[in-house]
Amino acid sequence: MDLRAQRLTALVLRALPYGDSDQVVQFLARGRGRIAVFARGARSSKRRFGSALEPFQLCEILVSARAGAQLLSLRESHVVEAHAGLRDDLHRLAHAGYASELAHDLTREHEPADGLFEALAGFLLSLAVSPATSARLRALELAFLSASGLAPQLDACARCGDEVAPGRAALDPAAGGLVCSSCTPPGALALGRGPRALLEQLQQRGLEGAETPLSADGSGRPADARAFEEAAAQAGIVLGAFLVHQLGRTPRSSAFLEQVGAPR
Amino acid sequence: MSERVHDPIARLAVLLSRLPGVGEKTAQRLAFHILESPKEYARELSQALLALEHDVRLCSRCCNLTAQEPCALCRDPLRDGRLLCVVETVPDLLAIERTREFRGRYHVLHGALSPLDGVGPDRLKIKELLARLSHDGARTESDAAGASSEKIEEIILATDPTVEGEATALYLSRLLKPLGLRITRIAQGLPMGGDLEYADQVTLARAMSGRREL
Repeated sequence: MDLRAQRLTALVLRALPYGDSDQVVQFLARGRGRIAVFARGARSSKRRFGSALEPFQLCEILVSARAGAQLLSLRESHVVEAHAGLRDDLHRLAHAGYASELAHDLTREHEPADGLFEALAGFLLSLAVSPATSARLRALELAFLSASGLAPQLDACARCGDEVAPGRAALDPAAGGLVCSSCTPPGALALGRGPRALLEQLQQRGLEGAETPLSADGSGRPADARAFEEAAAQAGIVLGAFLVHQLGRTPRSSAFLEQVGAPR
Repeated sequence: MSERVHDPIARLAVLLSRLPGVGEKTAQRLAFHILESPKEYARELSQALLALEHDVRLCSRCCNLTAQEPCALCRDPLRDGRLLCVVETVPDLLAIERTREFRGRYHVLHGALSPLDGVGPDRLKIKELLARLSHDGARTESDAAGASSEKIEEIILATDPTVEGEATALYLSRLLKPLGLRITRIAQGLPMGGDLEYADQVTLARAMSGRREL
């Protein structure tokens, strides 16, 4: 018996086969957070859902809860935005996969995560029409961390609160952000001037900061795109370690980025 | 676990229930069916299962499953060695064979790249494909008797139109294009007997972009 049906706007994170004919689909839904939905017949017939359960698509879905069932049931799914451009480029697909995995791991089922939803939606929309870049990936990581309440502290030492001198910063995942030279524990990852300025800019400006990067001198002039991308790749090593600390594991898809030579 | 089940009927039922699409009740029914069948049937069935384990291996050329080396498809002198169709799995190969449209040769990858699961190129039979195409291994496909040899001219990427299949096709096309071969992708779009009105937007968009002149 249907208890209630609800229409949601959701991004498909992934779909896993269930038996010979069904699928369990993980959606990140606006207002509902991550939900696992049972799609009956999704494998055996493409008539009902078509391609609407393919990862990375924005869909309008109709789900219902059934008495005694652990999973929600999918009744309808229509593609709102297919992000078709993702399928034309391997690096874009690799970045989309990484973003989906992070979104999955940074959310809990049935806990609204609208900040994360909007960050992922914006990221996929932008990625579908332009090349995959390290800068956009850093902006997404920072936006996800911020939306999850895990943003690294970048404006002062996360241990003593003092100002961190330029060029002498290190990131200490256990402390939750940058640490000054006197608080730096052994093994903390050094963060150069350029990567630090980039992270600060992306934390303030979000995805827009990756699309139209500004010079680090505060003049408001456009940044040297190549230098910005290099700084983003360097910052990725430090921010990646921060993410692994927060998640408690290395994302599976990060190995894929490396194997296919996608910007990291 | 089946190892701990001593009753032969229960043991068989447990093992059968591990097959895809077979539940506990069906497994029990199958076990009783085998028990009630003539004794030769059970013997033949067990021999067939053992032969699977002992005899079936991957063809050294195309990575198809075979009991003979090379497989029947690689041995067939009537097949066009200039065309090589790359598929994800053996069932995909069989599906294409059922069409009777394609008379070239195959290569089975035994999977697809998965950006979400971190399945990279090293987990697929891509090294074997490259070895097959490499110049020192000769970009040639010989028949079993070695009577003739044909250069591979076209590689058809017949992976699924899913994220994993597309990722695999994109990776392979980037890898193989420098070899100077013609790389093609199977067409995507509406199924035969389909209805435009009910087609989803992604499929329809693919059908439009992949249109061809009549």
